[in-house]
Amino acid sequence: MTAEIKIQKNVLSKNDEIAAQLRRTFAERRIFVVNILSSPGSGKTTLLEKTAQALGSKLRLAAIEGDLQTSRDADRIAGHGVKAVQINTGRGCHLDANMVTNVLPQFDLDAIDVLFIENVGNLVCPMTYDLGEDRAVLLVSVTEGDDKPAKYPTAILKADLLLLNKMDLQPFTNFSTQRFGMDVWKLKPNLNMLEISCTKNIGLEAWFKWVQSESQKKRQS
Amino acid sequence: MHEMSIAIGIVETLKEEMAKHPDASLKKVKLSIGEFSGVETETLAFALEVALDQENFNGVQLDINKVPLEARCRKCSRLFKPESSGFRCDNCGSDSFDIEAGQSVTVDSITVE
Repeated sequence: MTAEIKIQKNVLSKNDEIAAQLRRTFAERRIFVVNILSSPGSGKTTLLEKTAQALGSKLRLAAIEGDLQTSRDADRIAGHGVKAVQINTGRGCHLDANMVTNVLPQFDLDAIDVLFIENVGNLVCPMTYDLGEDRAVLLVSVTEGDDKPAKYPTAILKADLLLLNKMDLQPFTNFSTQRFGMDVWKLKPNLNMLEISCTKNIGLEAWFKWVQSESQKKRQS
Repeated sequence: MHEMSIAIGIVETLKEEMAKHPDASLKKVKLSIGEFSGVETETLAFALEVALDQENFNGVQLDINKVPLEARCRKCSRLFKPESSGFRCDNCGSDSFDIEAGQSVTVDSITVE
C-alpha cells in the first residue's frame, strides 16, 4: 500500500530557530550585530580594520571572522585591540547560526556594543543563512565588475546597506556606477549605497556614522 | 557549495519521519525550492542522491517543485511576481512589498509503501 504523508517542513527551520535564539541573546545585551557579506577580496577585513581604528575608542567592538582556513583575518583585527574569534569552516562555504552560537562563549557579551560577523567570501551560499544579525551589509568592490547586482540578486535582496569599495580604482576599470546603481534600484529601490575606498579613506565617515547611529538605536531599544 | 549540508538536513528530516513508520519504505520525496532561495536545484538533487544512498534509502524518486518569487504589495495588497514586473507592483506600481514565496526550501511530503 502506498501512502503520501504531508510534512511541510522548512529545511532551514533548524538554522532559523538557532538564529532566533541568537537574536534574543543579542537583544538582551543590546548588542548591535552586523553580518558582512561579499566576494573574496572585496575588502571586508580592511573595512573592519579601518572601523576598529576609527570607532575602537567610542564603541566596544568585537568580530567573528569566517574563513575556510587560517586565522589571518582574526589576527589582523586583533592587531587593532578588538576581540576577534576565527571560525574555520574547512570546506564550508558559509557561516551558519550554530557556528556563531559555538564561538559566543569566547566573548564577554556584557562588554560588546557592536559585533561584526565577517562571513565567508561568497555571494551565494551565505544569503541562505540567518545568523541572528540586525543588519546585513553587502560589500562589493569596483574591480569585481558592475554586473554583480544583476548576477547575484539574492545578495541585493538580503542587504540592508550596500558599500561600494575600491572607488579609487574605478578610473582603471570599466565599472559604471550608473549601470551598477540601476541594477540595484531595479531589485531594491530603497537600498542605501555608500561609495567608499578603505585603503584611501574615502567615504568612510558615512559608514562610521551609520554604525554609530544603528548601535545607538539598539542600545535605546 | 552549501547544497550538501542542505541535503543532509533533508535526509535527517526523512529519517525522523521514517522512524514513525518502521515497516514502510521510502519511495518518493516532494520538495519545493524557491528560485531565490540561493539553492541550486540540480546541485541539490545530486547531493540528495549521495546523502540518501549513505543512509541506505535506495531508489527514492525526487519530485522537485520550483517556486518563483512572489511578493505582496504593501499599498494595494496585490500578490505579484516581482521578477517579471521589474520589482514593482504590477497593479499600482509601488516598490514597497514583502516577499511571500520563493526564498525557502521545504520538504512537502513523502510517499511510503
